[in-house]
Amino acid sequence: MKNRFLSKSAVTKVQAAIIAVVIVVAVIAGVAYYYSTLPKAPEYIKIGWPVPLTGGIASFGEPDPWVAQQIEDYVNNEMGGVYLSEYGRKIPIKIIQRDTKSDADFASTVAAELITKEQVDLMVVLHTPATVVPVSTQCERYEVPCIAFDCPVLSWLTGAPYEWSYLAFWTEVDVAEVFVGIWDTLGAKTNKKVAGLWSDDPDGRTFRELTIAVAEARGYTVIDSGLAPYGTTDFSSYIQQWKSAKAEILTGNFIPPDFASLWRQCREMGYIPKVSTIGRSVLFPASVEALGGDLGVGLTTEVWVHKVSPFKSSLTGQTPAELAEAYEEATGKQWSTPLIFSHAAFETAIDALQRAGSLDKTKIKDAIADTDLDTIVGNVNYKKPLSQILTSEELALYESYPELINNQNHYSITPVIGGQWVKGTKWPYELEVVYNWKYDNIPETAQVKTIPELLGP
Amino acid sequence: MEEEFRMANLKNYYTYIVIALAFLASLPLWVGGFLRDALILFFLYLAAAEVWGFMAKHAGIVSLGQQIFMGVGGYATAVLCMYYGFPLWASVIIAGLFGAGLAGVLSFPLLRLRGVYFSIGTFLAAEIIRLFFNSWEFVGAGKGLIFKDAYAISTTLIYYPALAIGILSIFLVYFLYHSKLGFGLRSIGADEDAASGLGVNTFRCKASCFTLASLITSLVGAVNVVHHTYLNPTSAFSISWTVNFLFVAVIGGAGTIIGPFIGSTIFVALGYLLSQYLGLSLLLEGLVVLAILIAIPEGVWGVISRKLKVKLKPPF
Repeated sequence: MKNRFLSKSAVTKVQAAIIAVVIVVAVIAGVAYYYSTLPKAPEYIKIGWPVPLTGGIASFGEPDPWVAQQIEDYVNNEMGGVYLSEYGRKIPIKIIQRDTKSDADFASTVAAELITKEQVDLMVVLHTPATVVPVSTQCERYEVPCIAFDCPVLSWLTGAPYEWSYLAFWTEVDVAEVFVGIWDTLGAKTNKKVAGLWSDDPDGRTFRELTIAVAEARGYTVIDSGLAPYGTTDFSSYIQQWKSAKAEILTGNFIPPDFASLWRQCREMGYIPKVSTIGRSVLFPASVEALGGDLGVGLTTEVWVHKVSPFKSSLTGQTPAELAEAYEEATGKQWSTPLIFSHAAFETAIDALQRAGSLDKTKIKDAIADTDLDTIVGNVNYKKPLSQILTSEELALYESYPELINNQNHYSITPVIGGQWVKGTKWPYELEVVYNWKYDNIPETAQVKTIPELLGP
Repeated sequence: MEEEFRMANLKNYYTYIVIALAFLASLPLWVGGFLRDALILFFLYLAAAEVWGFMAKHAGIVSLGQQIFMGVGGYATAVLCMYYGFPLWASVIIAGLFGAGLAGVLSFPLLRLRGVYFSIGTFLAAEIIRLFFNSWEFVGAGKGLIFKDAYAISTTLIYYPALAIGILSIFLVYFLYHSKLGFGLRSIGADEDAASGLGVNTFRCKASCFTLASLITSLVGAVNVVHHTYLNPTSAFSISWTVNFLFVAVIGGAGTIIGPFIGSTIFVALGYLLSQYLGLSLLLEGLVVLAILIAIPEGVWGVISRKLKVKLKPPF
């Protein structure tokens, strides 16, 4: 049958056109394939960051979404990305956060998701053993480099030996030194009788051991009331004991709600020690305010970093004070120490990436191991031997925990100093640096005052 | 008569069951690492919720203490393998049996309690055990244990035990439902006094059920520690485990075998999804659960089977 529309030659033309299209497509596909086999720079450098943003320890993670935004903006806009020599160009970073719900098991789940689904090149993790330890162990399992901050060293070393994870923070030993140091500055103002009670948990146990050891070595008498189980509501027998022993110093390490009950009962029973140096419970302005009334006045505690610390961000050049101010201005919330530590973690991360010049995980890990960086919380250097940092007395205390000695290449000690909560001008309570221990470059902003002095008549 | 009919019925499905199993067994070989991870969680939650739902719905045993077995299963595995050099998977199995044994022992005090008293009793038992582990230096006290031996075990390898426990839990629920023990349990669930009056040994029935369910939960805890490698009394003995199992069972449709499949899918997916909503994840999770419980108290599977007019024989 004769086709009216397609002559014989027209059919040939159609065939020719089809052949031409096939050839063009084949050529394009071939070229595309050739280029796809060349090493290609990734779109982003992905940094995973599991954060406790809801649940029991959410107050630690509160500033972190802001920090992530600030770091991303700075690195991607101001710096134009991180220069990786392997690709010969700058690549922007992408910080991928996940909420751990303050749950250690769920922290493992999201860490694994960040590694297997988001395929992060590097993990950053902070805020208490319940977040840092499970995330570090997932990084060990999947062999992903991990930069950790804000987790007491001894607690973290439960998972030692580590290969892929590096921590920077203070050790429990340092905090015990700072506590006793605060009392030393009061000299003869106290009778050197210390009442001690601690929460019955790992931190409580460790701090009990260490505080008693350091205090007794320096001539204090410790009335050791032992460990109080979580949720203790009646502390009256302890308080009676301290009153009759005339203990003028109170110390301990508690979960915040338990210290709140204890401290209220002390006031009700008329027990006002001259100094009350408490770990963990009064780190943040919110937990001090939550005590109610003027109960927060004069409490002393460990301070990981302060606005007046003379450090500077290696990334943005900001001082802790400038960073705190930027945060307060942007969010309307009062600064807290985790804010500054989160920033420091990313300084360390960006520095390691730059030196690695690659997204190869082993190269990033090796670059982290070689870190020697002056961050906003102090120098981070995992390789510096303890013998260079510590006095022989301190080293002797460290040696009672062999894991501190055996794993010294995986943690770096950041300064910890002593602070005192006083009534503030801008905020209800503000933190003064009252004891800089061995860190003479950190200015003391006030002298330690006894609680009766601060409370007035 | 009914027995023969049921077995014949099941035989018709053998081909499908074999195909489904072959499909599930092949999954880790071609899905990505993330999906393997998610599937492990899926099967672990599935298994624990299957047995929890069966106990609660059919036997009236509402345990709020299944975290005991999550924790003990996990700790036993890590201790056997790390301290005593048992092979890893043998440790998992022994840990499961150990958990079941513990459940048997705990039955004596706990199952003397009934209803809500039993629930509170199990919760308190879990708290006591948590406190005990918190100060037990041998297992690292409150700092916990890191199961480093498990780093080398790939998720592909962990997938199979998780799958096996999931399947085991389904068979267990199926046969429990239809066995003589199951009839006893269902009569207890309907009216314990009447059951007792009719000659059912209520304590023995309930103790057997609790022990078998806890065997599964302990195995889940054991495989979970191989997967997550981290143990700490606060998280290992956390009530949130039982709350999660309850969630999976109730959302899907408690007391059915298919319900937890849906519940576990929703739960695992929701977990990953909500963790991206920074600062809101727990709040959103709570709202979703509330919404589902208010809107469809019979669970997703209950609604689907009603709408599609699918009538499966219980316990499906």
